[in-house]
Amino acid sequence: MPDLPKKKVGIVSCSGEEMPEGTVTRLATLKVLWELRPDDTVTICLPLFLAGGQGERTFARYYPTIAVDGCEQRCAAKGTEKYSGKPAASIVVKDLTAGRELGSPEGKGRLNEHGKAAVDATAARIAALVDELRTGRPRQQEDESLTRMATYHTAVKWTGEHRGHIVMGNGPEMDFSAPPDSHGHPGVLTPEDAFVAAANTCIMMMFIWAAGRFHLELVSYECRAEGTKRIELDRTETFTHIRLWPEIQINAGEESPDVVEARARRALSAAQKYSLVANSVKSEISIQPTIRIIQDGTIKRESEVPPRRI
Amino acid sequence: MSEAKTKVVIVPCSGIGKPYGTVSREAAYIVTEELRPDQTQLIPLSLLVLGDPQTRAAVMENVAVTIDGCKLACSTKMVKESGGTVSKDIAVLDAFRQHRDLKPLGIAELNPEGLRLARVIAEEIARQVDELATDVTDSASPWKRESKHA
Repeated sequence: MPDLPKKKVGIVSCSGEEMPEGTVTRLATLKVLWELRPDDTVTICLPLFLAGGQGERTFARYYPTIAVDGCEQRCAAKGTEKYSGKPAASIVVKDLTAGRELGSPEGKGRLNEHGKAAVDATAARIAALVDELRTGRPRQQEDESLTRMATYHTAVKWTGEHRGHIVMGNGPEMDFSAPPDSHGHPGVLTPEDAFVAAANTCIMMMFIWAAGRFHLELVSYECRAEGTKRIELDRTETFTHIRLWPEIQINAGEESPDVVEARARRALSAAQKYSLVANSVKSEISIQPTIRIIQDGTIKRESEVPPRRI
Repeated sequence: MSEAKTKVVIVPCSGIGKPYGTVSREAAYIVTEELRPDQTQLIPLSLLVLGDPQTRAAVMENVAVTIDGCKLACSTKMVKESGGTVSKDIAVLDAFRQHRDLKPLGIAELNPEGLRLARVIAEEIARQVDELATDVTDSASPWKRESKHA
């Protein structure tokens, strides 16, 4: 379930130290990663990639990458091609700034105003390329070739009356029935509970995954969930809504509680987006989290985020 | 024998995944632009690895101080693999362990503690550069590589 989501785009920036354009590549890449396309991109650390980082090289081999270089030496593009395959797209900051008459970036460590404008222009170009790679027709065939399949299994057996026994593919087995209000028995798993539990557990697992990616120090996660069933006149039934109320506590450490809370919201947003179960059901799923940020053992911020529907 | 003109090459990793990579980059700028601009030369790691002749020559003909942001030590590893001589490899994490009050935060822009940690590292490198300069005047110095070309 918490596999890398499909269609992520890797950004490889040269980060060249000896010219301002190298700093532009670095800051533009981080801007895309954190602000413009946080759910669709990852960065690939070029030094690690060049030094033989297998994770980086494997990612770049199977996922589309954008090389962002400061100058015509094109270290990021050449390195990517040498060790993993030709980048799907390539940007050279010097060409981009010259083409748009943005002026010359100055200051390697601290960029001047031209440099900051170059960061914005480069980040916008990267974001446009990310969108193209994720949705554009020319990439369709390649994207499909990256799709993977996985299968999961369960087996059920009738044990008499309104009872059965289920064996899950991941190991556990248990008795089940229908809910008592639907001719079932109390005290055992029901399909209704399993359905609501599937959404609840999946979103929690994706949040744990996202919290790791967003460097959040998770203290606790608890979530109550409720499924609403509609019974039609012809007695057909549908789950119309699933509502989740996660209560999340995060330790801010030495960071600003505001910054940590913003990151927690982004992590929750990513969890919702990549939840397999949430993506697979037609019920409306709404999530209304309470986020508490702890610092020095006390709650510094507590916020109830407005419901978000999937 | 000609007078020594050797520079110390400074090779930061500039890793983009954590603030420690940014500290390595910042420390390299402080040394090469502010503390010892005449005695040092900044080397972009990617240019070195991809075989840029001038960069490779600079590393081959001088001694290097590497600054690594994580335990993978990409900079040190790559300089050695490129045939360079590492006189000192600095791990930002080790520096942080010695200065726990200077926890760096922010990859795009370091917090004040991160900037101070970068300066601490830069000052240590400057001392190393001075020591190496003293060694260069000693003809018996084993790393006085330019003597081969003099």
